[in-house]
Amino acid sequence: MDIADMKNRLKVLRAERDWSQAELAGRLDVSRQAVNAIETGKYDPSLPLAFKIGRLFGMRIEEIFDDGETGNG
Amino acid sequence: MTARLAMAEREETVVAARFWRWLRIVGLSLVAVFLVGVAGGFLAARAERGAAIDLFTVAFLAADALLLAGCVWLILRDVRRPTGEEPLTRKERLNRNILIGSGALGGAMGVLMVLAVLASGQEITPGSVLSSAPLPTGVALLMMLVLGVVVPALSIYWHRSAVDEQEADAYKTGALWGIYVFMIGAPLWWFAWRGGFAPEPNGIAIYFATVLTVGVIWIWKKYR
Repeated sequence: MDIADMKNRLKVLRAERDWSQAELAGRLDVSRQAVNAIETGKYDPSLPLAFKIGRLFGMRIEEIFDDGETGNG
Repeated sequence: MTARLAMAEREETVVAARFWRWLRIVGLSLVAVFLVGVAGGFLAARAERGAAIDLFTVAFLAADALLLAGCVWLILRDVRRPTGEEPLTRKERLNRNILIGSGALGGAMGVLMVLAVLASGQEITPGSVLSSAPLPTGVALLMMLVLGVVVPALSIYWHRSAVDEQEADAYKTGALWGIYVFMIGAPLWWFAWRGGFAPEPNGIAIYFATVLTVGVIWIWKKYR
């Protein structure tokens, strides 16, 4: 089974709240490099961090992250 | 919304700029240590030959000092350069401080090694860093203490307190590349030596190649 590239809406969600990468990094207790790497798809967060991101934005993980498999049956 | 996304794009540029800034700082630090070694080696060679302090000696050392001062100035400029970045987060600040402290510790160990080698009357050459020549007992014990106690304690603290999961992932990738460089490079050199194609394997050279690989891949994965 091929695993598709993960996409996410982190940059948009952050921009909607007027948060800088540093501000989001501080709220997640990670570095700005981590936020940047997740936003640009260079790094996929662990499940605990994904849940933390979901809780921070008040959304489910699959509303933020898309593995490209949704709707493929 | 577009303006906000443009701001987010600018932040990505800032992250890339930070990568090159730290790469310059590391590179210039290595050049600075090399220049200190060159001055030490030059002085030791002159002393060994009993050469008097002449105009050439002064000019050579002045040029070396000038280059060293240039390196230090460029390093300080990069450290202080405002890049439009916001203040570091708590974890980032701790991470930076530990890395700077580790670099200072490494530099101090390097200077101590140079002084110990000079004091023992040996000549310093660029290849001295790979030397297996005897060291004074006190210096060797101090190095063992730092590498056996201080470095592990600092590393454990760094991994537990200052490294987030993205950096840990970058570090693990670096470590994977490093172990392959070791697992393939060491026996490759060994067989090449046994076949008469290469000089005898040097453990410290293999160590440096492994550490350099881990470091380069770690930094690249962290900031790319």
